[in-house]
Amino acid sequence: MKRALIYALFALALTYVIRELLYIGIRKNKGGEFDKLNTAFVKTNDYDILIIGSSRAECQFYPPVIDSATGLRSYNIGMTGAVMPFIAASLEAYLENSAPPKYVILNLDLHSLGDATDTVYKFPRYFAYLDNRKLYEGLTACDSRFPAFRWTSVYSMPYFGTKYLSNSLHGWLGIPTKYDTEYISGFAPCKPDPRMGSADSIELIQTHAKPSQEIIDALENILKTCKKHNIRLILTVSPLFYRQEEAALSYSSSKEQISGFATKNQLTWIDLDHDSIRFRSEYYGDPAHLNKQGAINFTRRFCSELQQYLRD
Amino acid sequence: MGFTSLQFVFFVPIVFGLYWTIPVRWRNLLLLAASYYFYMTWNYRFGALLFATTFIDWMLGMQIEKSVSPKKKKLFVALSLISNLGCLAAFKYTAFLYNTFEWTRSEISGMNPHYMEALIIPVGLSFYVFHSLSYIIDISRGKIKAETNFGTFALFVSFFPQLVAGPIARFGELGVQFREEKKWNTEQFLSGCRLVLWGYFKKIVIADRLATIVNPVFENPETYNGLTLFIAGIFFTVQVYCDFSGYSDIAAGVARFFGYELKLNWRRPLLSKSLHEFWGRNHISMTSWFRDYLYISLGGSRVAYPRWLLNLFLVFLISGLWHGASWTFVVWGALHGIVYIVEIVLKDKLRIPFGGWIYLFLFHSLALIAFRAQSFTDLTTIYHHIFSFHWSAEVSYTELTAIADRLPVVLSFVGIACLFAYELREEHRWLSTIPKMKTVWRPLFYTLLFVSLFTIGEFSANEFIYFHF
Repeated sequence: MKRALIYALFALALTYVIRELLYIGIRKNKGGEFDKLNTAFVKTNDYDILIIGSSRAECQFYPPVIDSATGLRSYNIGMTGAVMPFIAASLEAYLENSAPPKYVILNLDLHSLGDATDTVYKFPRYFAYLDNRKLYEGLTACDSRFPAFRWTSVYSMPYFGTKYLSNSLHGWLGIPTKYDTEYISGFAPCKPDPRMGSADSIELIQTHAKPSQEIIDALENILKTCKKHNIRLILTVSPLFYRQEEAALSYSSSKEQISGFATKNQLTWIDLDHDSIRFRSEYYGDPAHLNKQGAINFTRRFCSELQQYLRD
Repeated sequence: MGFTSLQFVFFVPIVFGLYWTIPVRWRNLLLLAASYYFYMTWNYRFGALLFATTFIDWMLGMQIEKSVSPKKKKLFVALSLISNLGCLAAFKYTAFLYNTFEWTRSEISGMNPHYMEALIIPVGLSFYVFHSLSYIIDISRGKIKAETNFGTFALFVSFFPQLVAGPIARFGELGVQFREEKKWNTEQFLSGCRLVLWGYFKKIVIADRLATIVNPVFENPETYNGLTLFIAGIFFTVQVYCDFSGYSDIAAGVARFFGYELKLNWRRPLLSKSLHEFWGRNHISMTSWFRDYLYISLGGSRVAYPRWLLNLFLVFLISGLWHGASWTFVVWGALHGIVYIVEIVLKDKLRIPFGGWIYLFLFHSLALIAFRAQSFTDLTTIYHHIFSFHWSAEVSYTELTAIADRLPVVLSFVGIACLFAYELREEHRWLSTIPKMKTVWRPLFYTLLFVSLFTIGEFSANEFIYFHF
């Protein structure tokens, strides 16, 4: 029995060692999703413009266009599925290791305003970055399982999955994954899913966007962080495909609420929600996200507005 | 609360700790309460059904034993059959029979059929109904004495490790164990741990990994190439074996934690070289149940030759239906019945050029497609695609890599290789004589098994396939 116990403890210890090796492999990725997370939560950076938000930020703001239009260096840390409290935490986590950018562009949208605040989409991808204190705190505030994920290997590892194991192996072997090239300065394109149909025909579910107090608090936190680091915060709304907007209940009142927030705090407010691109289905990967060409076109349009404000 | 759920990981140690610390006289009660709790986590209403059928069978069992008149005995057995099979028929076969009738009616009359939705089947119904039926029939045959203690009988029916997917226990083997006072046995506990680990490995590392490839293919079979469907069929053969035998291993291992031994349910069936050998190794508790209570009741082999073959065919057909209320399961049972009879008829004349193993594995895999197909239409589509032999390795590779990345596919093959290596070692007792086997190599093997569960396991849902039966 004693020997069995020793082996059991040894097995348990081994899971911690293997988990750490997996995390190291993940952080060794030099491209793709994990390079972006490395940039956001591990590396030391000095970008001038930081884009934050959910998947609409991630796949609609194309940093090379911003760089060439402004002459500044930008990076996109928009995260798929990020809700507002997590967006606030990701900004703080970025600032843990990096110099404060001059500008933070926060893309507000239907989902980051209306989604539940107690979920973290694709949460296992953050496991390798829990040493970042602010990220860990932010994730724990959204999902109370994170302390258990951090300290219990046999609890976290089942969530890891083959995808992350594969990414870790790629990291260790120094081989890029087939998706790596799609990521450009944190931008990741939205690719249409042929099974879902086009933005014109896809069946839409009605959504409800009404900022809760938690979301407003998170916005306040973002503002506070920006003020603390002397960062200029720019709020923006990118266009949803017109059918998606029709399916979004209380969307305009939510936007008004946000615009009120911007006015009250004297923030720059770039509302591009009614840009004509929203009627062009060929520029959408799905009704809620522009595809790559759509993103490039939209970012150009956004930059023409942004330049006015940067001159001010 | 499935065996792969987080609740189960907490549930077993709590029950285990309480079991070995409370006074002996309370242990059965604890196991009974734990078993009902375990069962009612799926749906508390099903607990009432379980209790009701158990109580009826317990009462009938005692009445059968008390009865002197054979007529009365038969009456009580019939009542039990009606109550148990009635439940099974009501939940499992109502929609099937109704829809079959509707389809036939619509074919004849040309009117649109009105199909009904299948009812929710109480988890493990087919298994605990068979536990109870074997108890009643064994009493009527004078094989066992009726249990006077309701708690002991209720525990026999509901003992949580084997409640939802077997092995199908006999009272003479398991029930009597609940009358004994269990003493702590370290070796039994450790062997239980080993079984549980190997069971989880088969389920999580092999079966659920294969499911990630198999499921998408069988969900839309018409879009796949014949070779892809064939590969998915082979994968499903391994998946279903690892899923079910993994469950049985976990069940037997957990039972050992409490000092109980469950019946051996699998003896490496995928290494069989004929269908006869296969059915001696595969799902042994179910096969022996059908043999003892159906095949023998039909007259077994003590009848005319054609009737004997018919008996065999009927047993396979009914065992197919037992697995699921669908014509695809009937096809599966019929295929097995036909080939089983062909093996008998041809006996020594049957010489397979490439060895029996390939024949058995191919037949089993192709027949098992009927087990997995979602409808009869799907099944005909799959067989048409496979047997038209318009196979393309290139198309198949593209299709498979579209379903899963390379790593899951590689891991699937690694899992299958591990399974066969382990089973061949067991079959031929390889490595058992090497020095320090028990003290060093075996513990190291199980340590690696544990670690691999968490490193390459596929934890994204997937209930045990047999829970639905």
